[in-house]
Amino acid sequence: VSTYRGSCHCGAVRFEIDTDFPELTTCDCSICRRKNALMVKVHESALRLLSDPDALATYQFHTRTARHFFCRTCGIYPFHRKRVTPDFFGVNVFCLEGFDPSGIPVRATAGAPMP
Amino acid sequence: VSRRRGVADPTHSSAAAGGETPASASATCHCGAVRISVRRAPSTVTSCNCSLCRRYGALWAYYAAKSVRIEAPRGALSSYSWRHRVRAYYRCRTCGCITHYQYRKAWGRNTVAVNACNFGPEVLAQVRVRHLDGAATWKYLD
Repeated sequence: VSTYRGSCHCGAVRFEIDTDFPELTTCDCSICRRKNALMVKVHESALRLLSDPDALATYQFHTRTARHFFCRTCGIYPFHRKRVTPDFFGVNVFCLEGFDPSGIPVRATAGAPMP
Repeated sequence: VSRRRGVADPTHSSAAAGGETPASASATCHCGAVRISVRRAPSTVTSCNCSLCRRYGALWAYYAAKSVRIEAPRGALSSYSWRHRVRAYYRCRTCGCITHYQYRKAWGRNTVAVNACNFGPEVLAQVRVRHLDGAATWKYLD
């Protein structure tokens, strides 16, 4: 398991995650398809926010379980707290430094049919 | 671009408001505060690998500014510009969805780039995605 640093674009949101990237996921739910994100799932204990929490805005909807974060300055989505497994985060891998997704299996998850 | 202030009202067609033909495709942010209407759904979109676009995950569909209608309540949009501040990237202040970008310089005022991810999945299923190497060469890779 390696540690990767990540950031939004403007630098107001910085974080690091510990993962060995067993897989990456996409999702077709109403918000993920708009974010068009490629994500890695990490336990909350494997994500450390290194910057001011107030730099993040939160958006919630429907069951209001998931928490979708974005940078208040540049609007980047860095990660979200997941709905089915709320102790896990989905992380936008394009925020990570020195990360190459090639060779890692991508699983398309079906978020749209979820009630 | 016509930006109508006030609460977006989908029953207000372009024809009623501006004498144009009704829009055939519209892109909305997740919470519905921002709606962008265009006369034709995009057939080609651009995926760019620059430091900003790759994080946004945006698929840009380019339109003549006069053919795009952006409806958002007052204060519903936030924007971000960086480096030479050539473009302003807009998002919904509430749900954070990236909606469009526009040029801040006079030479670019005729273009609006709409984030095609906010169209319905039936639109995206039809589009060709072209890949722009915005990170290095500024050339299309395909």
